Amino acid sequence: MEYVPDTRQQLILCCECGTAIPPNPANMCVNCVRSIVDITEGIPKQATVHWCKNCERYLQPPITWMSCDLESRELLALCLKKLKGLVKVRLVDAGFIWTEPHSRRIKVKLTIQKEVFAATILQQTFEVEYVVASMMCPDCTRVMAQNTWRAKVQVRQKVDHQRTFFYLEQLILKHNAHQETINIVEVKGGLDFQYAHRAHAIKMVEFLGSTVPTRSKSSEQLISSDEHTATANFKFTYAVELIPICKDDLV
Amino acid sequence: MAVRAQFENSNEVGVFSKLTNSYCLVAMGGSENFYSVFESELSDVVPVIHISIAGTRIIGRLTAGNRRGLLVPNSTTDQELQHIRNSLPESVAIQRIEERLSALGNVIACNDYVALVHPDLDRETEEIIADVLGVEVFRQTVADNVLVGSYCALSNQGGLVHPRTSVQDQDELSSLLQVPLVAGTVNRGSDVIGAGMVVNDWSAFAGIDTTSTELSVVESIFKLQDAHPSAIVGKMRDSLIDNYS
Repeated sequence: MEYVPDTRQQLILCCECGTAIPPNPANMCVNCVRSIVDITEGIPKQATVHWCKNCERYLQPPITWMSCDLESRELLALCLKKLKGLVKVRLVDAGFIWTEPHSRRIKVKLTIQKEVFAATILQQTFEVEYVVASMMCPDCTRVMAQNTWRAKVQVRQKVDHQRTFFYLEQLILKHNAHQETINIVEVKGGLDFQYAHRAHAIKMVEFLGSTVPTRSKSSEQLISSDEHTATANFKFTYAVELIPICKDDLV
Repeated sequence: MAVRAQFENSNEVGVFSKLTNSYCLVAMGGSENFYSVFESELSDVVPVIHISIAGTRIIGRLTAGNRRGLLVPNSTTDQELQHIRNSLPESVAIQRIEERLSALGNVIACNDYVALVHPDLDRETEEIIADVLGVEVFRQTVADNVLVGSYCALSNQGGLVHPRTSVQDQDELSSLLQVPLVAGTVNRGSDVIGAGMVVNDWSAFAGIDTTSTELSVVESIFKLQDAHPSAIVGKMRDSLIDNYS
């Protein structure tokens, strides 16, 4: 006679509603456990994401602006970072739900797992809605306010023929020293190089000083100041005057 | 009649009381509500006795017994033993047992005919159980757990076992004990059945958190639906009256 093991699944009654369930650590059916414990409690179901209309970049707090496509991986990472309660639970799956782009809403579907009742793990899927609020990023603001540059290097040579200047231009091109320049304006007697950051301007001044003899002066113009935080915005200008003699000149 | 009770805000009624067909033991020091629940069901029929074992209140887990006898651990003091002896009916024999596994309520589950014991129990203890309680003794486990007294509740009509007991184990135990068994929970999903409730042939007491589903399972497996003390005279006479030998 062969021994056939009895594989009938033994069932108990859920202690709340009385449906027959296989035994589990809580001894309640899934619906009853869900109705008592909500694992999505600490997680906000609605959040805001900031977006710049001009350059179509999303704000990643506190100061970075990132350009990403709708329903892309970077956008998903950005959205998930906004949810504070997500560190306490284990994230199993996350994905986008399609929304009309003009509705300015992004919907993300999340599946999380959390431990309840000691030794029971509950898994739940839910949806979070993000409102896309438009906010102008600082770079676009500057463009709009025509407040484009923060530092300027004014290169001048007071001489009739500007052979050194042409030579300088070739040198700049060769060494790629004009990389961070926002704008180059030609004026009578020389060039103006405009930069977004003071450091870039100083680098250009150093470069010029290393190639030709120069005399430089720096000045600042106050744009705005904040007394409470004791900070101030300036426009920096470096006036660089090249030596008036060129090669082959008679001195 | 299955009734809910609580001892000092604890659901574990089986820890603080012991119920058989001829007596009921309760722990000392609880509120009168607890005692009144027992006495309203039982006081006309069986004595309700306040005791302590070794100065503790966990008498349900330290003692084991049925209508013929009571077994107490070796930590019971002489005064306590004397008090129990004075309070219990004459027909009930009391024996103090020297046993390494001294929580007798956890290692022995018994009704008036059979007893299940911890597989590691001493041979002498097994013989004493068979002798004092007048039962047939089987060494068994419940749901692969050796503490049979904690994980099952037994009466002459039926038994409730740990929810994870497999169908095979249930069949095997049922054939040993000759009573129907069901796997279930008490006290809102707690699987420690023996500590969570006490039962005899006509009444059962479970913790206050027991849901109505669980209580209905208890009432059906222990056949308590119409049971009230007068019924015992008719239908359950055999379980209460000694054999005329």
